[in-house]
Amino acid sequence: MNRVCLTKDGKLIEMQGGGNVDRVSEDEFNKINTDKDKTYQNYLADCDALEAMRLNTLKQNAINAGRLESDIEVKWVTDAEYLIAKAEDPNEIARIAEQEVAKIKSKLAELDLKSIRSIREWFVKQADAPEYLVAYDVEAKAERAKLK
Amino acid sequence: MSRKNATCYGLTGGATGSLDSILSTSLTDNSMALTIDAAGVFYAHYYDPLSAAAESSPDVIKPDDLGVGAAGRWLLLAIALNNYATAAEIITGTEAAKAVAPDQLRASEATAAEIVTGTAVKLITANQAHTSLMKVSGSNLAIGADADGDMYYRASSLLARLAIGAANLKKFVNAAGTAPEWAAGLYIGKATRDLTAATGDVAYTGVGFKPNTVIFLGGINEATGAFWGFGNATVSYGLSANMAGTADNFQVFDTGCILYYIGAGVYQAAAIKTLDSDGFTLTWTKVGAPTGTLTVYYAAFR
Repeated sequence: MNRVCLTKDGKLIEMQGGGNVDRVSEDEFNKINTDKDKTYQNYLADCDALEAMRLNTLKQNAINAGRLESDIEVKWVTDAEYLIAKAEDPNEIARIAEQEVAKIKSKLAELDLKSIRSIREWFVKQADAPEYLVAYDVEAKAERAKLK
Repeated sequence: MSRKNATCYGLTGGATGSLDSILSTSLTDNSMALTIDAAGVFYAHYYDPLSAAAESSPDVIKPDDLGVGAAGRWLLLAIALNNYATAAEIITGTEAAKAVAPDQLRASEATAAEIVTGTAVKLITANQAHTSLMKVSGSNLAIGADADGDMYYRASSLLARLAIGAANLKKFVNAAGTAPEWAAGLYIGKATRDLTAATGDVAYTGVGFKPNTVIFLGGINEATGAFWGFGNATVSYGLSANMAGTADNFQVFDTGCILYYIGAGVYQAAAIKTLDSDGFTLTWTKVGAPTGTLTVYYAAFR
């Protein structure tokens, strides 16, 4: 299980994994318990209190960061539920959109760089090619030859 | 005519009726004397005309009429029959010349209760100890549902039992520092950080113990940044990719455990502020205007 803190409009503020208590059976409890004053019901109540405290951690973090308690909610979610919450998070949606844009820009930049070389090589084959461009091409071929 | 036997009411002193007042000339070898002294102690002596042992009452008594160096001594025949050791002398074991009767031994034995409290200086017998003390083998020790693999330790002046733990658990001192306990001592967790969030402290719980050291790593899917770091209450070291927003550039740092770059002058960093009873608290620092949700994986060691 995971604990999440969300704004009321679904923005994911924080997630912390785990925190749920694996409760032992009453038989197992009786084997390991050495406190004669502690009953199985006490033990279960302690587990509930610990989980509540851990869930409250996220609420307190948000409040410490300046959010109002009325604007947030904290809850337990499974891994699958967390992935859904994350996918619906406006920040995540915006990040993925930005990432897509960045990928496209990166691809465009790569294509632009490849085009420059092709354009130069086409130009120097023309009869009226500028001398400086021909010189650049010669220099580029010499550098490329060093790679072999 | 020599006498064979005599009765006396004292051993020494030379007064009439004392053993040493009997004239040696009246005695023969193996003459016998029976004496009851003023304290009511009974003695039996026999006369040895050849003995010149040094006088030492009541074991060796020289007749007063014998000159210095002359032979002839009354020798103690047997321990006086009513000269029994007291219970205290039996316990201390320092009186060698007195007899011990079985009922005296019985009367001076400690009771089972006295053996448990250990306050009385008395004799004990094996069967008494058996009923009230732990056997050398420990086979009669039982504190609750004792089972193989359990361990015993002192708790509030008593012997307490630590039930055997699950396989491969390790033994730790509990959080209060008062008793041992079994635990894994390792927790692997995950968390997220909204990179738009402002500088501040964030608590992480669910670890189940107060960690000693925490290892961190994380990043954002399909982004160039990443970080690796670890630290404890006093020192932290880390490595960050995408240094100042330059892909393939790395930065080593010792000011925290987390440093995630979005670009030059745009990042979030975190250092361990405290190690807590159920996790830890990080102090996050935001620089510039980073965006996105950072995933943080961590391993906490007790």
